[in-house]
Amino acid sequence: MAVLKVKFDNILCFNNFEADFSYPKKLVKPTLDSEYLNNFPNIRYRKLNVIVGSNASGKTSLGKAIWKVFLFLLNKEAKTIIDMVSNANKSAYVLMDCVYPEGLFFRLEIKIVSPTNEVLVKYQEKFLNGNDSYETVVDRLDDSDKGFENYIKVLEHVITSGWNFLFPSIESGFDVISCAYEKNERKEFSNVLERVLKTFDDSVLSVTPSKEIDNSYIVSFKNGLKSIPITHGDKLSEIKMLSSGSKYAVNIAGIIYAIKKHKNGFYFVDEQFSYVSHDLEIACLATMVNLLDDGEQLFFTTHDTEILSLPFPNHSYNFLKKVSDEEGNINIQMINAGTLEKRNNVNIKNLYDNDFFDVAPSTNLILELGDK
Amino acid sequence: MAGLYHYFVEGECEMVLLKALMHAEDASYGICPGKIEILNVLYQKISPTKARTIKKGTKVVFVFDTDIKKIDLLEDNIETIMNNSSLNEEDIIFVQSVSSLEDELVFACERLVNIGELLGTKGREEFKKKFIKHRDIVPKLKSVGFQINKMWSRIPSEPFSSFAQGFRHLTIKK
Repeated sequence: MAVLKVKFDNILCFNNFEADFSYPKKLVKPTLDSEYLNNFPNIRYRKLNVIVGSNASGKTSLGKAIWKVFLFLLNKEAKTIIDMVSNANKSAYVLMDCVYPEGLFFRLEIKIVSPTNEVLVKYQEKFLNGNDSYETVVDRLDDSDKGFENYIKVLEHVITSGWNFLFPSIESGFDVISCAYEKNERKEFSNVLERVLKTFDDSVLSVTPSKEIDNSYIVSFKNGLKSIPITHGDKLSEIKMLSSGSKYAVNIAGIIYAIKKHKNGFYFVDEQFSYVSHDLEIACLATMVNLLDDGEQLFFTTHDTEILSLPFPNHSYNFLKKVSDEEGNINIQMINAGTLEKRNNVNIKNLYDNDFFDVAPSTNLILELGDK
Repeated sequence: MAGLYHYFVEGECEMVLLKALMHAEDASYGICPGKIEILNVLYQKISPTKARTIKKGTKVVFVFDTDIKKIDLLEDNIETIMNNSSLNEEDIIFVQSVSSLEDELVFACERLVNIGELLGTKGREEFKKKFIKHRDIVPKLKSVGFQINKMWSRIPSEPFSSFAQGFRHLTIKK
């Protein structure tokens, strides 16, 4: 599954927020393979979406907002959406356009009515024709304000799945190891985990599935150091013997394995590399991107601007920034590098360093502390 | 166009114009992109702390008016940058308005007799307000015969004439 567009209003830190993850024209010299659905080549979507933003710019919130919308589709519980409403005195709105590689498109719109918190939904599905583009499918939709109904009735028969969100372990509820696999997969997962852990920490000797405990893996070290277990459900922060960055390697291995086995389709990897060196980060990113299959999509948030030098299409790079409107309200905007710089041979990192995208934070308040 | 640029500009109008030129779709109006910071180098000090954040290989660009003949702080700022960063004097580019931005625009636009004609304004303050809010300034300037090679091309009078006019080093062909 791939997300083509989101709109959020009065949701978390987003007001009148819109982000497009499709691209309108076929690229002349694409630097990323098949950024379209194999059977529907005019459905062009951004397979990789790197999101760079300064602190508190909304990167994690964007992931959480998308995640909660998916969860709402799955569990059909109004609270999942209502909890994201920022200002209870205002109505809130969500729009999400998604597409499955098999040829199914859906638009989900959600209204949370103030002050009753009534959740109304409009859900439209379209089967794609061979020549359909995103624009032609949207033309077939009813874009009127009519058709919103009680969410339980509308979503009763909607089945959706296929996402994998990885948030930093400091986020509430995410300090947990995720490595539950069927028995016949454990050897293969332990191989991925071993490769990743050994790369992150060269004192690691091997990783093998535990014979005693299901969903547990034994990490052995060189020099006869004591082995440690890595067990599904344990706290990531409490793994002994591993550095901060290497602890993150456990869940990074999990997402690489998930993409390798095409377990989900939509992947959101949020700041897993804050404690990880640049070389390791780009190795993991390049691996993940290379493993993506038809209709799969990766979102990747980072503070590491060196990523902007990698030879991905310009439209893969997005920047989030806070801007204040004329009434003094703070809004978040997403700026896509491809819309401001069309030439793919230009180094986006250089443009970023020159603040071409106008997203650099002002550091004057800190710098003034250094004035004598 | 590779390399880093850090512009210190006199005010918001200069910032709006430079940003518009950096993002100009018409290749012949492009200038080197860079960080833009509003700081009047004739009246405000660049702190040593700030100078230390300027990366190696950066070209620092000072954009200022020359209507008031006062250069003591300008000289201090040059010294601060040279003493607290890896830059040399040749890494500093001077872009001097003769004698204000409005005068430069009138000089660079063939069909502009006074600045008020550009946006239909009366007085300097109204022009500034409208200029800052304008979303499409490059096409607007082109409509009155803007020639980028004439912009910031004149040599200012003393005491500014000793600082080389360097805007031509910033114009690029996309």
